[in-house]
Amino acid sequence: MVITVRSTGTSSRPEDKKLTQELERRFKEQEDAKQAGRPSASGFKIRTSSQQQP
Amino acid sequence: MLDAPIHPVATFWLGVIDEIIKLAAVFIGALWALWNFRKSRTYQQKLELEIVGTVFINKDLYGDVLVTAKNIGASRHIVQKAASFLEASVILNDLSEHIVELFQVFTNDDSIEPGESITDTKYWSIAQPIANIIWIRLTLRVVSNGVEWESSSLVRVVQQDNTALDSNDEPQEE
Repeated sequence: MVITVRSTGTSSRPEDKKLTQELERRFKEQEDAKQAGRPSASGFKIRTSSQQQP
Repeated sequence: MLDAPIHPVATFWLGVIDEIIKLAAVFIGALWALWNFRKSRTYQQKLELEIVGTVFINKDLYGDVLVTAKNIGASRHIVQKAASFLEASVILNDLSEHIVELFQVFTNDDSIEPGESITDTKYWSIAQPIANIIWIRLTLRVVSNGVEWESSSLVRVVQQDNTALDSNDEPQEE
């Protein structure tokens, strides 16, 4: 079976400060939701390397 | 008196022209060197990002990823950890895309020296139902000294148990 995988390579540009703030906000929301045991915004039930289940 | 120039004024002006040509040559040479230096961007910040990930299904969908940032320039990078993320999103069979997880990356590294590579690994699982997931997109963003680098990789999810896919940059055969 042939699997086609695409990669964009590396691109660079001046930092988008708004994107940085947006990512920081989303990351904080995500961590707060994990702490509170709320489901993720995407609706999928995720477990990650920083949040192993007991 | 025999050594006196025949045309003293012409000799004077020839000397002046000679000096002007020498000065212009030095000036043009300096401009050429500066232009080449700027064009080579030797001391500009340069990063090369790589994403290698694997996705497999064992009841749930599991993924792992190794991200690498290599400093291919001649200047030192200070990684802005708070702004550097790996974003994992799923693309469903209706082609809608949903961000499922944001990972902070390179949290153990403060800087990257010229020629140095830093790596980080992350892993995750997505519980059932996962039947409508077609691709997983991994997007790596690294910020250093006011410049951001981004790389993205797409991994196809084959809905078969114990099927492993590799998101390496080159097409692969199984």
